[in-house]
Amino acid sequence: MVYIGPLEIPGRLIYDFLHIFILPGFGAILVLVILIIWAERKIAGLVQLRYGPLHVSRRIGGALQLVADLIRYSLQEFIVPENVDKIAYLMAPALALLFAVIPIAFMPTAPGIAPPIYVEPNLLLILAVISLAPIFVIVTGVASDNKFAFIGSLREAFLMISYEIPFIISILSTAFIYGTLDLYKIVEAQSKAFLGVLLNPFAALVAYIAILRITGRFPFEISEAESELVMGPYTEYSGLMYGVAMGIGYIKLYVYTLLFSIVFLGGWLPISSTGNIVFDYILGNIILLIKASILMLIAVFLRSVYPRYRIDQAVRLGWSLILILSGAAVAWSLIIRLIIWR
Amino acid sequence: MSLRIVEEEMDPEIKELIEKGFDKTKVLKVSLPKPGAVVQRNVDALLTGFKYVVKPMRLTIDYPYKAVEYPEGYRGMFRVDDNKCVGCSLCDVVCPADAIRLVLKDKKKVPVINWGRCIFCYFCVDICPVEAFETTKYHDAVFTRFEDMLTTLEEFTKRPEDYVPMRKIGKRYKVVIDEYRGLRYEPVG
Amino acid sequence: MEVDRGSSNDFLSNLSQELFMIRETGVREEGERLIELQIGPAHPGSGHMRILAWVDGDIVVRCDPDIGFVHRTIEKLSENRAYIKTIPLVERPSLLDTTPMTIGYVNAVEKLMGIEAPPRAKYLRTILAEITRIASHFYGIGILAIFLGHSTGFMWAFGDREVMIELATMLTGARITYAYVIPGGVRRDMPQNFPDQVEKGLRYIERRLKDWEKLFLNNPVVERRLRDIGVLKPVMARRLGITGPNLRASGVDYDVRMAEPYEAYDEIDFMIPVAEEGDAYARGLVRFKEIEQSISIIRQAIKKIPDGDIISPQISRLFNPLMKKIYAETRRVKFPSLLATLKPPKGEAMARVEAGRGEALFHIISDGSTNPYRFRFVTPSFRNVILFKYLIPGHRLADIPAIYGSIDYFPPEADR
Repeated sequence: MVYIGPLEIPGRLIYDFLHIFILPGFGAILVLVILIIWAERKIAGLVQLRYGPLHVSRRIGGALQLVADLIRYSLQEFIVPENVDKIAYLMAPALALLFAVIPIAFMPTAPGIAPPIYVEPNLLLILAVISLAPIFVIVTGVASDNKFAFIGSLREAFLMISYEIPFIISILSTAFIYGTLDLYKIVEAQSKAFLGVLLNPFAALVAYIAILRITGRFPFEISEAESELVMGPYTEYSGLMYGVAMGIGYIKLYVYTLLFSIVFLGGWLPISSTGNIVFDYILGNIILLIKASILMLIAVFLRSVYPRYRIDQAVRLGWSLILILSGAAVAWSLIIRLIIWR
Repeated sequence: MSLRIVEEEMDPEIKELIEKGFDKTKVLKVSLPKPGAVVQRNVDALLTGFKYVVKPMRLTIDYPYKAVEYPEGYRGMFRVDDNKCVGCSLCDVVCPADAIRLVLKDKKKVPVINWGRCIFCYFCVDICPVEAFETTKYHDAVFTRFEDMLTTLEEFTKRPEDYVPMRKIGKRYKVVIDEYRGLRYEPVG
Repeated sequence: MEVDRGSSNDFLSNLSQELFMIRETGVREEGERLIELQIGPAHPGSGHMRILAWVDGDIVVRCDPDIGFVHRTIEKLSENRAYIKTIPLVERPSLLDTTPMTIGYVNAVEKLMGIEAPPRAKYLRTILAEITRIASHFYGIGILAIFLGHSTGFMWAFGDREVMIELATMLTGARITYAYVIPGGVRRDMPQNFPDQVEKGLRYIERRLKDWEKLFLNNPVVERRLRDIGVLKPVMARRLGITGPNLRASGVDYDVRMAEPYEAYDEIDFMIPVAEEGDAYARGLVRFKEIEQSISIIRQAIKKIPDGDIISPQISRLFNPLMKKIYAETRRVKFPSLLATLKPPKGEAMARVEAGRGEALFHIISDGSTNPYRFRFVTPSFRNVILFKYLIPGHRLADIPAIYGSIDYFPPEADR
């Protein structure tokens, strides 16, 4: 194992900076989120017999549409309604955004290079940070002093709990197989045997469905149901804050698919550490991002196929089929661990 | 829950109809599909969606870079030929939207139009006993002020292209109904 | 507790009470448990209307449709204008199936005047009415889809509707407000290549219906959202006076085209789709089946259409020589000046049509002057809007859009 631990090499600080701000941190987030939203609208356009965004930057098929949208959001007047709880109202989306991106700091994304914050059970830490997210959505809804926002945030709370538990169980069940809570070791274990998705398909299925729900993709885009709840928890937001609130779902999708790619799709595999740090860093990250992008593309494609579930149906699905499947995933992991792969 | 319609008050014909219903051979019983085969149906839906990603089939046109040329006989904007007009004022009488107003020219009443009110029903065009209106297919007018929509006689005798402010529009395409793609757009000329 | 402010009818208030009792909640006033939601008047549906829903937890205990936001005073306006000027006016409330409305109005005027359209005109009216019916059903399905969050269904419906609109444009020269039907006939004959184009369009729709079935109707999520939601029993449907596909989805086989054939419907062989279940899914399905039937009607009408005049001789004998020339050359009907000031004899006439959303009724009372003395116009959406009150209570908040979409309610049509 070729860890570059803290202060072991002089490039450590540079690497930390790159990890957080360029790849796979904020720079990649910005570019990928813009591209994914564009791809979502473009795919929807294809399925729906139309062009999709095209007017802004026609040469590259309207890919800069979201940049134009962002500029518009930032220039729009940002209204804070009179009756809202101002501190909570302003803090909640910012904190939700923050807690959505923090897990990246714990994720090893390239062979032979440790993440900026390296602790042994980093998978556990990531899951802990991730499970904080619904709190801010609830705060958003309650602080907004709006019935639709309130109902939306309650829906979010119900759904989050019913899907986060199977998600965490299914992710942990793979950890049983690999016998470690360290993402780096999980990838290494996969390089020695099969990819996680082959080792435990139940867990992969549950995790992917749960990701769809947690990040608010169709058919689980329930808390923001436009036709009855206006914009769900974010009804009272306008201007830049609305843009942020809208982007949180996609940023979460990015982070979750990164985690999924590492745990189930072998992260940066098939390459392994070559000793050349620059080469490893760039290639490892790009392979990981490609895997995550494919997962994100599938997730956004579902928008053009499915409507949204009703809240009780989605919750029931979460607590019945998905939970049972995650139980099966645990059982399967134990069988593999105890019988086949000792 | 019981049906409490007062029997005596009912029209016997309607009563008979309710009792009898229609000729049963004319009734198509629609049966809902049985639930089940969820995996199969999910796959079907996903594949159908994916088919359109791989083989796109666009019905829309890239307006305003391309625009539709409507078929012959499309009810677009029109002009009046004030030499042909006999001043019978029937167009004013028949206009359902009160869009046509009459002005005096050489002691003859001649129509002018308010494009803001016109609903393009062409009643005026059809009622004119001397065919004084000349129709065009021109339709994508862009007025920036309400006053511009009130035409003067001088304007209304011109073809719309010559005085109506228009958006810069690219090439014109003809709509063709297609068995496989729905609508196809073929360049005009 | 006050149950039903609007109605003094025992039956209705009992029914309302029954639905209230579906969920015994204890607290009825707004406050601790009950939230009053005002959905609308601007909402992502069709037209403006407000839905007042009282929600207990996630269950709607009471729902009031608040109509009238897009009222146009059509009945009063028509009393102050000549008969022919009302033709574009009756199109306005239901912008999606305009032709059935004009057919109904014109039929009533024709009955008053004692004229009848020639057979070819009747067939042309039938063809256009069925084209608009397909368009109207697609519109309804599209709204249902977007209410469920199925944006593809919405776009597909509006895209496929466009094909029908293009066909109608070829025939009439306008995209939506055709004003094609006039007393005594129609305004234009169909162009030479029209049957060919129609056949292509219909084949396209048939091809697409297969994809519709896979992506929308058989989609498990769509099915779960619509199955057993908003069940309308046949008894209740009859009692509330529901009409159109909503009635037929509840197992009542009633269709004006069959019960009182107008235009060319008695010469055409078609069936009326009837489902037993009466839930939202059945209502959607019946619309799809009606599209199939409409396709068959258009095919038959195109095949059977007789040659001949498209305007009644009572009108065409008033043509001046120029009008005769134009009619002979281009088959375009010019209006003789009499049409602008029609004076039907004293009396009253009534006509019914099956519009896309159900039965529309037109009742004209004439006092012998150029304007109708009274014009009563009952639209199908106006009769269906009561369903909000009776179908929604007891369901979840997320079912409001599903039920709204499935009854294909169109506010401007109800408000007139």
